[in-house]
Amino acid sequence: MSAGILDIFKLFAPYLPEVRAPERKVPYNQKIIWTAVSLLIFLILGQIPLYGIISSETSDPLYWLRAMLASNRGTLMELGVTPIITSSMIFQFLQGTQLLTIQMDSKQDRELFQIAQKVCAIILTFGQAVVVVLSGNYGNPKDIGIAISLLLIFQLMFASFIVLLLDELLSKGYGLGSGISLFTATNVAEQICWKALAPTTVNSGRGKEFEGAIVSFFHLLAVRKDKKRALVEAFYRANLPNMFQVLSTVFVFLFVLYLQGFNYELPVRSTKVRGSVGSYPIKLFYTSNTPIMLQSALTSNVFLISQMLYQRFPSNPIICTLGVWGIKPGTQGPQVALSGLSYYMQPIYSLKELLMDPIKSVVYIAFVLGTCALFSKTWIEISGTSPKDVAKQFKDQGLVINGKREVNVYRELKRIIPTAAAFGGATIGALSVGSDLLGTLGSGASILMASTTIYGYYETAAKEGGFTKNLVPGFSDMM
Amino acid sequence: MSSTPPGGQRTLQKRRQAQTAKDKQAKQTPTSARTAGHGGSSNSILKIYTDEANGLRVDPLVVLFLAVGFIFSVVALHVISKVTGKLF
Repeated sequence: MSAGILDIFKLFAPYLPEVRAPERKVPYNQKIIWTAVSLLIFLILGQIPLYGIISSETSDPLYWLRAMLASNRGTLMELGVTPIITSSMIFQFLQGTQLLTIQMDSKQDRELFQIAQKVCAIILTFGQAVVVVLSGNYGNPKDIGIAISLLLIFQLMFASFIVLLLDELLSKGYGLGSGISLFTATNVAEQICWKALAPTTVNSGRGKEFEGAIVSFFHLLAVRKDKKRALVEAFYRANLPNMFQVLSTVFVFLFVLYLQGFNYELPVRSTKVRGSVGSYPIKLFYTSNTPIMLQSALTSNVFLISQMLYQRFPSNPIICTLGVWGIKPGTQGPQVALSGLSYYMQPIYSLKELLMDPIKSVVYIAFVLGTCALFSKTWIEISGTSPKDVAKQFKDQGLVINGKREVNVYRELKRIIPTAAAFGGATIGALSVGSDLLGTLGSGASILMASTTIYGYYETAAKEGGFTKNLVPGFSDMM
Repeated sequence: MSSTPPGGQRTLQKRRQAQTAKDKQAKQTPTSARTAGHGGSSNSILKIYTDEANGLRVDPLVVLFLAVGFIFSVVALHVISKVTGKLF
C-alpha cells in the first residue's frame, strides 16, 4: 500500500533535473575544487539581497533557527537549506517508523524514494516562499504589489532549487560529502569569524568601538594610553564580542576535536578472506551531531510557537505557562523568555545566570542531557545503525568479532552500541551546555555542529587519500 | 600457437570469476539505509541523493552556470532599479 503512495511521484520523474553521477571516481583534487566552488556560490547567494524588498525591519521570527538552517535574513538564502532538511527528515522518519516500506536493495524503490524527497522539497520551498512573502516579512504585500511579490517568490524558489542541485552535486560524488552539512558548518564558521574579525564600528556613547573582538583588541591596545585598562576592556567588555569569547571558542573547538578521536575498537576478522584482520571502530560520538541538531530544532520550534502565541494572546494563562516573552532589562538584544516553560529550556549564558537560578540550571542541564541521549538512542534505530543492523551488515560482509563466536556478534554489539550512543549524546549535550556557559562566539550547538562536520570532512579526506596519514589504521583496508 | 581444448578447469575458473564480478556489482548497490547514505556513525545524516534516477540528466557544469547566471540576473535587477531611479 505504501509503495502505492510513492508511485505517484513516478509521474514527476521525467521532469526533475538531476545531476549526472560521475562515470568514474572523481580524483581527490577535483573533489576539492568542486566543493570549494559550490561553497563559494552558496556564500555569494547568502550575501545578495533579494530584489524588491521594501523593509525587513520587523522582528525576526526565525531568529533561533537561522544558524542551524544556513539562512541569512533578506538575502537569496532566506530559506537556506530548510526545505531540503525538512523533506529529508519527513521521509526518513516515515521510513524509520515503517510507515513507508522501502526495499533498500531494490534500485527502483530507492529511486522513487529519492524522487519523492525532491518533489516534496520543491513543494515545501514554494509553500515557505509564499508564506514568507505574504506574512509581510519584506513589507506589506499590498504595498509591494503583485508583480514584485511573484518575483520575490520566484527568486526564493530558484535560489533554493540551486542549493538543492548543489547539494546533490556534492553528495553524488563530485564533492567530499553532504552539501547541507557543509553549508551549515560554513555558515556557523562565517558567523564566528565575523564576530572575531568584524571591521564594523559601533557607537554606544563612548566613541567608536570595533565590533570584532580581535580587531578591537589591537585597536584598544594601540589607541589607549593606559595599556592595562585597555587589556581589561578588550577581554571583558560585555556589550560586544570580547577576547575571552574568542579564546573559549578555540578551546571548545580543540576539545571537541580531541573527543572525536575517542572510539572503541572492536577487533574483527573476515571469514571470507582468511587471515584478514582489522578493527571496527565504534565512536564515542556514535551519532555525531544528530542529537544536538534535533535538540536545537525541538527547542527552536517550541520557542517559535510560544513566542507567536504570546504575541497573539499575551494574557492567556496557559500560554503564559508556555512562555512569557520580553526584552531582558538592561539589554537591547532579541526577545527572550522571562518565565514559563520556555524560560527553563533557554540556554544559560553565564556563570552568574547559572548561580542566580539554581533550579533553572538543574532543570535545563537535565533537559538537554536527557533529550540528547534519548534522541541519540532513537536515531540509531531510525538511521539503520542499531546493533541489529550492524550485526546484519557484519554477516553480509562475512565479518566476525575476533575471539567470539559468530552467533555472539549481535549480543556483543548490543552491549556496546546503545551505551556508546546514549553516552555520546549526553556528552554532546554537556558540551553544548558547557560552551554556552563559557560564552563562545555563536551558540554551543552551532559550534559543535561546525566542528563535528569539519572533522567528518577531514576524516573523509583522509580516507580518500588526501593526507598520507591514516586516521584509523586497518579500518579502510577492511571496507 | 597453442590452443587449449574447450571446457575443463580454465572455463570453470572463468565462469567463477565472472560470477564473483557480477556479485560484486550487485553488492555495490546499497543494501541498507546506512550504505544508502543515512549513516549514523558517519559524518553526515543528510546525504540524500546518492543514487541515479532516470530523470532529466544534468551535467554538474550546467548547475554552476545556472547558479552564476541567476546571481548575475538578480544583481542586474538591482543595478537596473538603481540606474532608472537615478535617471528618471
